[in-house]
Amino acid sequence: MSNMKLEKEYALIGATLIDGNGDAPVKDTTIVVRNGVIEEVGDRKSVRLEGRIQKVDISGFYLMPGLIDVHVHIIGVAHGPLIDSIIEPNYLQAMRTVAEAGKLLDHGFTAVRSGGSRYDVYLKRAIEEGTIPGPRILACGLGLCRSRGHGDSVRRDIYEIPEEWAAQNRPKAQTVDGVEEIRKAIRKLVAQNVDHIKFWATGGSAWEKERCTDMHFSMEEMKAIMDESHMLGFKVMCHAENLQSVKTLVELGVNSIEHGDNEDGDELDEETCKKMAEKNIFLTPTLSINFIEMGAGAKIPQYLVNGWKRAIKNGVKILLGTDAWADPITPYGKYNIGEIKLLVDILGMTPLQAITSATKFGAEACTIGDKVGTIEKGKLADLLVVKKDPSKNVDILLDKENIKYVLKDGNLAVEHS
Amino acid sequence: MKLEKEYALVGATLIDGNGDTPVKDTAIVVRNGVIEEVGDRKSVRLEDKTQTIDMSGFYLMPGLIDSHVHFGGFGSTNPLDWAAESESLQAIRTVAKARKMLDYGFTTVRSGGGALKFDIDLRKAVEEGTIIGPRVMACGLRLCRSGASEAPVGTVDGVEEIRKAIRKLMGQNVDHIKFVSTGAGMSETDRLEDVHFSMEEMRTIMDESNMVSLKVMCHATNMRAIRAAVELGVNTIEHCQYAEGDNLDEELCKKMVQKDIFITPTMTDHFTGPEPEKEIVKCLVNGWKRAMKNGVKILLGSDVWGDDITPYGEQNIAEIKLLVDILEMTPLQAITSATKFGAEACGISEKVGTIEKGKLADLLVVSEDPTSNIDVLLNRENVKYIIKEGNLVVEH
Repeated sequence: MSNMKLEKEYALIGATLIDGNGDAPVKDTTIVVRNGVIEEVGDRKSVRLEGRIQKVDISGFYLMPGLIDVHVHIIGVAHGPLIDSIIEPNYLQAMRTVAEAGKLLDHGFTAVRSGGSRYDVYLKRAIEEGTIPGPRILACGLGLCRSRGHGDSVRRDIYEIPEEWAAQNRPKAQTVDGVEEIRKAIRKLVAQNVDHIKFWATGGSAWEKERCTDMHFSMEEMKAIMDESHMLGFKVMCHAENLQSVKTLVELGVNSIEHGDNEDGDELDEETCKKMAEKNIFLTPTLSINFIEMGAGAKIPQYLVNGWKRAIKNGVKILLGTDAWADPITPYGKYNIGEIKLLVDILGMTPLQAITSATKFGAEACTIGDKVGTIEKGKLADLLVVKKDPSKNVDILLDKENIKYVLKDGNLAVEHS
Repeated sequence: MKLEKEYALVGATLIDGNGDTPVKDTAIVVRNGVIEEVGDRKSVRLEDKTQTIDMSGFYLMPGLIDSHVHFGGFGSTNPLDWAAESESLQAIRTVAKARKMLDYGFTTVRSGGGALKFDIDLRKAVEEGTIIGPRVMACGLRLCRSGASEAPVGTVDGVEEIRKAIRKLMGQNVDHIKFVSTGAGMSETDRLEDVHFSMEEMRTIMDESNMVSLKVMCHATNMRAIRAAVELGVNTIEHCQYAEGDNLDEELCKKMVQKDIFITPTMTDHFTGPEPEKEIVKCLVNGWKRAMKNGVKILLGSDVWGDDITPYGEQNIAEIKLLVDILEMTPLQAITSATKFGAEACGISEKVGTIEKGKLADLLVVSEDPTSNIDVLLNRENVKYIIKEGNLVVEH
């Protein structure tokens, strides 16, 4: 039950501000929000307040932007085996996404970018129309993979699945083979009000022969994806698990490369990193998923860490993305926030840098950097009021009880007492 | 408030759903979602280690049961949208609707079905614990004829299609069968005064349902259909409307009682929709009262179907006030209709419906006495705690 009621206009006073730009936190600030927009923010002494404005004292707290996970699958899958995710009723899965959205918001994620989902466009709409609570959803609909690629990887030597039926039931992907099917698919996605296009350039090792080290599309096909997407102003997000694919995608000008965990054993090199930085290509290492695949106590191979660190050193923007895909395996919310600690522990980021990745860079990658991602005048009030200082230790964000309030569009979305 | 696996609520006035006078100063012990003991505080022995919660000043009653809800998921009142609106979007909306009904104290709802199977999937989502909502009694596809209000899918015509449909529904593990024996007033040709199935078709519905022990819920809006429904021995008659000049006579009422047929008048229907009435026509009210007098059990059914017109939660609870105001039930009788009788009609009365030892702990803790004034329940803030199978699901 919420004890705090926010009016259309209010001021939060006294918190230490972590604005998402990576600068040192500013003590004792005031932020004024009107109709969901940040009117003013800064040192308390410099922000003038109208007499009758609602004032909420949050001294002792820390104010930061809402978090952004740039790689989630909101697909309502409740069981591990891939065959189950196809067989289970679609409505049931759609209903489960409501719970997934709620959990993400509960852990401080005010925006998430979908990596492929049958339901993301509808969930996005339900949230926008106010029917259900949830983060801002950047949707891409069913992502594009090849026939029997990473989104179509149920083994057909075990199961026989009619093609039509699979097409209506795959939870995160649609199959496209050849340039014509690609053009058609992207053209259709537009009317579903997607925000970006997602494709799988390589396999993902769902089974032995769906290999990370294989390219899954021809150059011609990938050029068509880039063409059709950019023609309409859509950015492209792409799954890549070997170095050759990363280099190719950089050449093609893909906007955001997912995983980059080169299963071929090759380390991400200086030249590729420089090109990525030049072309403003983002990198989402999805560190969390490695521990799901290899086990909790596993060690991520040093050559991968070296590669990602080299990218950071060369100015490539790293994003917080988790590849969350099924609640029993990647518990929504709890699993997602774990990534921010990994950015610090494994990639050697400072807490402030990790927060910047999880806020400002995420917003930029989603092309909503003018609206959210940092706490600045004119942007939307997607804010977290946190009990302890996350810039000293990101671990505090791992416990959602430390996030006293989650605000989205200036409204109180979640309160933890 | 955090409830442990075993706890006792002590000091509340108990309204157990059987219609008896409330009992002051009671204790109820719940373990693993089941009512272990309940009664006068002095007679209930409490273990030292049992979590004890003081509920003095509060009123304890069974969770409410709405015997007629729809999970259509529509966001618009335009029927053309219903055919085309994304099913995934509708499915997502049903989660919010389920939550709203629970929020007003409805721990169980019986679905009146639709063209799509949202109720079946919602039931599963609630059972598996993914979402918070009432227990859903699902029927999946409601059986109506071609040309009736279900478009473009979901109609059955003729005995063969009926057999197939019910056999498939059985495979979907429905809780009951719902059929629409008359028009529903959704279009000019969908007339309340028309009968929509032949006797042969309706007999088949009863046959196939009885074969697999499924109860039958029947929408009937004219006297011919009501008589047929009684003769066929359906389990519940929904709406139970008829024209002026017709009459729910003594003999018909007696037959209903004999065959243990319930009536769900769905009175809130009359006051909502595109042409709301100022008051329900006397012949209907008199008929329903005559049925009550003869011992027919009346159910609380709100017929919620679209959030814009029938706001979920508000519309459900509004019906309980109409049971008192229009049918002149006492608040206790209305509560019995909304709890005990609802559970009986759903076939789950060994599990819920009244607060008795051995049943599941579906409970409402209310801050004022609903037996003095039923209006207390209309404000959900008065329903301080909603407990479903022993778990605290809502707190106001």
